Amino acid sequence: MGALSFLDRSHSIAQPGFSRWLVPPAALSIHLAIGQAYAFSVFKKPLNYLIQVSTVGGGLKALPGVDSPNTLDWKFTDLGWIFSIAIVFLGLSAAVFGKWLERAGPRKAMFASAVCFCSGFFISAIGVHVHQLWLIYLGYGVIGGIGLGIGYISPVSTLIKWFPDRPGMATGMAIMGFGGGALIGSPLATNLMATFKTNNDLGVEKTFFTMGAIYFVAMMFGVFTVRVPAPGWKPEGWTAPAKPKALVTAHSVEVNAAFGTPQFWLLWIVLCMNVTAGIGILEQASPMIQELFRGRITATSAAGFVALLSLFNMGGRFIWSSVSDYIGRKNTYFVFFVLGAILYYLAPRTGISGLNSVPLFVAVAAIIVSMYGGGFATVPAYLRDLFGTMEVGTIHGRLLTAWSAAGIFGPVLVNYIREYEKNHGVPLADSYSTVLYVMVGLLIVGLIANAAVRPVNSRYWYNAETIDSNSIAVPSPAPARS
Amino acid sequence: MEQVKKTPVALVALAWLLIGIPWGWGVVQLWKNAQKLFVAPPPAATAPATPAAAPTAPAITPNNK
Repeated sequence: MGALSFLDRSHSIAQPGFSRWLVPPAALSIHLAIGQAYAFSVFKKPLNYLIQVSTVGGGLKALPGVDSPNTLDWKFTDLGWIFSIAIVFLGLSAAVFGKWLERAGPRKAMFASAVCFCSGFFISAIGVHVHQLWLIYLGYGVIGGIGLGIGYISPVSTLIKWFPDRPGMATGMAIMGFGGGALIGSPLATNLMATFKTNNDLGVEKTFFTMGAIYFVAMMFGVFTVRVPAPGWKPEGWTAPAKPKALVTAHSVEVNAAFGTPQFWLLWIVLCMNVTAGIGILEQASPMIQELFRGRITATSAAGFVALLSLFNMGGRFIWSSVSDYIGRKNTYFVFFVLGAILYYLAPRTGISGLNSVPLFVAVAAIIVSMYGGGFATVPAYLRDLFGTMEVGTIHGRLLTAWSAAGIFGPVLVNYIREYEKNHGVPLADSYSTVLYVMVGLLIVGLIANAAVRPVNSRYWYNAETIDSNSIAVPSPAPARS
Repeated sequence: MEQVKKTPVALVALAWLLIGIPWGWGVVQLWKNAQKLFVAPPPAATAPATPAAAPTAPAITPNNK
């Protein structure tokens, strides 16, 4: 397709003199947009009341804290599936399209992500208009979810290639954007719904359309700005260390070969355990602080606590991944698991029956959540250290299945333990302790897996002669640009 | 000798600004929300002077997650 040929990898190779500092904003424009997914919950209540408000009126202020009394309205449990489907398709598409991404280049992948993610909004708006939930499942869940997956991995390998001197910081910056996307998505959606609302319309349909359009424009900034470095490019004045750190390879491993290495699966366990433990506290942050400090923390204060955790989740992504450039990835995860285990053990003891210190509990939870975010942001650089840069985006895509697994495993584990304890007469505050102690166990599993990571055996290294000619090796040479 | 055309610093700054402005707006909104953590709880209720009214459901805004 001629009109879209500017999306090709060959057309996005940077000219000499191009500033690599334009690439992180390009990546951030994608991640800040798709990070909106974390804020989807702001639509749940309005979606739950569409028919009720359209027939009875009352606008946004009429929404009580219970399910809509109108039987034609969608139920909360059914609406919960929208986000779940999106996250499942994020993991699946990241795994499936990673290889295509390496071949097509970041610009085409970012464009595909924008088309899918924003189409998801438009289809969902139609779904609201005709009141068909399956259209929202298809739109925001399936198609939007594919946009999330492609968008999440699209800038990773490009950033690593632009910042060989600081890969952790570079990928951390982009992945921080995904954590920060909800910061924009949530108030944007709330303000748009408030703008479009009438007495009989909650404004969801128009908000979906508008957000789809706004995000498309924002993502196009990334599409047009991103560049891949020319083959052999390196930062001015930088030379690869003559004696790299123990785990940092100068070789590359092809994705299918990486899939067969113990290192890939050890990192899969590392990421899965770190995420599961983080979800353990994020899932129940609001009720937990209210129960641990009964009478001192109100529901409103607890909402503030959740917001504060979001800031640490976002900040941890940048700070920890940047730290990993200096202390190494393995040591960074060692800190996550050891410090995390200590803090998870301490958290219940800060409550009213122990040290009775709200600031201490908040500090403990904030550090834990910063390490949850840090785990996401540090893993691409860990993969690059072990498997090289050649197919790191593809390998990262496949590793994200650990996130999908943790997304199911974490909440199920937490809810199962709490339900079991409740049925056995354990006080609510004590049931949180059990959950957190189980998380300590998971972190120890992660610690062992991380400790077992060794350099990849040389038999897995990429050898151009052993791979068929269709595989992606190194980017094709830069063609002359007119 | 061919002269290398370097990306102007202003262009880099503009790119960061385009990202930073909406992000900063989001951070401010979140920080306002986070400050609720530091709001003191209302004093514990004493014996009601009048019979308790039937509880009403709290108003939920779309921002309540």
